[in-house]
This record gives sequence, C-alpha cells and structure tokens, in this order.
Amino acid sequence: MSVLAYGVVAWLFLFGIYGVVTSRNLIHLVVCLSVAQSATDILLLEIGYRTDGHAPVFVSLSAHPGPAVDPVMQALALTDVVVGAAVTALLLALAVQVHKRAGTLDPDALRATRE
Amino acid sequence: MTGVDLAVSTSAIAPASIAVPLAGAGTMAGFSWLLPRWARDLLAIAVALATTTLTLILMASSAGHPMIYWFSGWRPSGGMVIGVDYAAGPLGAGMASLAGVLASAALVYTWRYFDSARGRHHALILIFLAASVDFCLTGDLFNLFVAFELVAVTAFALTGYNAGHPAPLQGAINFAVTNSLGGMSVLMGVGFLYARTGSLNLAQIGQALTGRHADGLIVVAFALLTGGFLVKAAVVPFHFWLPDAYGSAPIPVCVLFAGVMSELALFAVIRVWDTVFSGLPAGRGRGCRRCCSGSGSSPRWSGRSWHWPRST
Repeated sequence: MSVLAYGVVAWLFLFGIYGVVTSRNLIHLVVCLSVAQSATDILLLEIGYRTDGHAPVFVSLSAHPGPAVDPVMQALALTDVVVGAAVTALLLALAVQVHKRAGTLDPDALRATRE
Repeated sequence: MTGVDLAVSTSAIAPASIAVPLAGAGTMAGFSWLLPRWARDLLAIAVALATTTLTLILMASSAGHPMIYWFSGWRPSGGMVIGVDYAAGPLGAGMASLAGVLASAALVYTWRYFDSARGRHHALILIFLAASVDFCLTGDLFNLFVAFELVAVTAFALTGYNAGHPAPLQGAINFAVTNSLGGMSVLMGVGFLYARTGSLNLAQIGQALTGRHADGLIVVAFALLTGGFLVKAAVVPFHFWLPDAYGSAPIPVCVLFAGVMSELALFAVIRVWDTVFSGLPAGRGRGCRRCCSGSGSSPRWSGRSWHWPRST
C-alpha cells in the first residue's frame, strides 16, 4: 500500500513535469501543472496515513477506538489544494488574455511575438 | 524547549504588522471605487508606511531576545508545540521593514505609472507586503510555505498587470509555472521533515534534529527545501524564469521582485538552515554557515546581476 502510494506520487510528479516541458498549448500546460501538484497532495496524505486508522473526528471516541490518521497532514493537503486553485485560476486567466491579445495558445509562437 | 519559550510576548505588534496591510488591501479592493484617485494612493501609501513603522518597532524591541507570539494563546504544553507562532528576531523584522519601505516606494512610483488603473494594484501590492511580513516573522514551516505562495501569486498577477500586449503575459506565465514547481518542491520538503520529526514548528524541528544522524530522508528534505527556495530566489542554476519576468514586468513591480522576493527566498534558506538543520552533526561547520550567509549578501551569485543591463 505504502510503496504503491509513493510510486503514484513519483509517477504523477514526473509525468506532470514532462507534460509542462513538452506542452504545445497553455491550457494543457496548466492542467499538467495541476497533475504535478496533485502528487504533492497524495504525498502529504500518505505521510499522515495510518493503517486501519479511522477518520480524525474525535466526537465519539468510545464508538471508534484505535488510532486515527493524522489530521495535520490532511489540513496541509487541503491548504495546498487552495493554493493550487489560486495558481490555476490565475494561469487560466492569463491564458485567456494571451489568446485575446496574440490569437494563439502555443508557447513557442508566443515567444516569437516578443521580438 | 530552548528555542521556543525564550521570550513570550503578548504584545499585539507582531500580528498587527500583518493585520494592518491585509485590512488596507481589503478596503482598497472593496471600497476604492468610492474614493478619488489621489485618496486611494494616499491611503495605500499610509498603510504601507504604518506597516513599516510597526515592523521597525518590532525590530527595535526584539533586538537581543527574539519575541515569540502564540496565536490565540496556544502555547506549547508538555514540550509539544500545538499552536502556530510568530518568532520575530532582528533579522526577520528587519527584512519585513525592508519590504515595507520598498512597497511604500513602489506605491509612490505607481501614482504616475499606472494612470488607467482602478485601484487593483494598490490591493495587490498591500497583499504582497502582508505576505512578505508574514513570511519574515513566522516560526512555522508550513506557514512559511503558504506565505511565500501568497507572495508569489500576487507577484504573478502584478507581472501581467495591465498588459497591453502578450509579452508581459508570457513572462507572467513562465514565472508562475517555474515558481509553482519550486513551491511543490518546498512542500514535499515540509512533508518529509514532518514525517521525520512530527512537528511543523521551526524551533521544535531543529530541536528534534539536533545531534541526530543526517539520514537519507533529512538530506532529501534539505535538498527539496533549499532547491525550492533557490528557484524563487533565482540563484544561478535556477534562474530560468527571471529574464522573462523582469524583462516584462512594470517597473514598480520589478522593485518588489529585486528588492523583496529574491531576498525573502535567501532569507528563508538562511532561516531554515540556521533553525532547523544547523544542529545536525554534519551541519556544524562554520564554513558551511559562512558560505550559506555569504551567498545571501553577494549579488554576484544571483541571476539578476547579469540581467540588469537588459531591463534598463
């Protein structure tokens, strides 16, 4: 279980970066960035995971004895999702502006307009 | 708890120095259409100067003994840190006041620079300032990450601000993508350090690592944290985003990049090194420490030195 989760983290992160580097479309690039970002969320959740742990809700402890998964890591992952949403929204807004001004979403064609 | 309960301060100066610019930014974003242009500019400059004054007071009063402020009074109990704190030392508060001075200067410059703006850049610069102050004062590793992402997000928005043609937009996109990858690297480092020490408080992580053998996980966490911060500082091997962003950002925003953002990232490297990793047996060397703080003060190592001719 644990090795699989870390494997998924590495796979998502590397393929996300591969997508960012080889992207030919800004929207595709932003989605690839979100894929790489989701790797960090899975890593955080996996660090806080306990085998057979229950959800970190401590209202009726007598009904659910035993260990709970770490709520701190879940809070971190949640905050990271919020940060990622802000970055994605801003990048998509910039991509829309680029399409309005330059008429293309290809980063290489955009670079040619700079000179 | 050597580093944690040095001088517990209940004074409201530390939280006020971030509450003031945040409240100012909220006011500017929500109600600036009620005010004439000169009043908006004056209000934003006054807020930035007030923040600078607060951080200067903080710097003077924390000289010699760092001031620790626990939010909502969640102090450490039984040797465990359970809250989030501000640990203001003279270096951190000094960096915060530098950010305040430069943000005030940038706001004065924008008075004539952006004529068509409807008050948005005031709010963005004030949020940038609040996040910088938060970044300098915080004693919590995850809060450090969040504050720096907030600095970066406002910086992306300011780079592409009021762009009449696609070049600044392309600069902003390159900047945002590279910095987000750096941010992910920092976050993974935070996760690994938490996995090893079970804490997010800088002082407590440092205490947990003191005297411990530097195993693979700690080395990887150090590499991820330092690498992520150096991407944001644009130190030479990690400076890909810098020419695009500096070449296309508005001039007052370049002041904030060159004067605040790069320095904040180098400050983070020094702070994380000094508080967290310097207790490791492999990290005791004075040479290492000097090298680390030396590269922070010398612009030769920073990618911006070779860019100066291009932007002017």
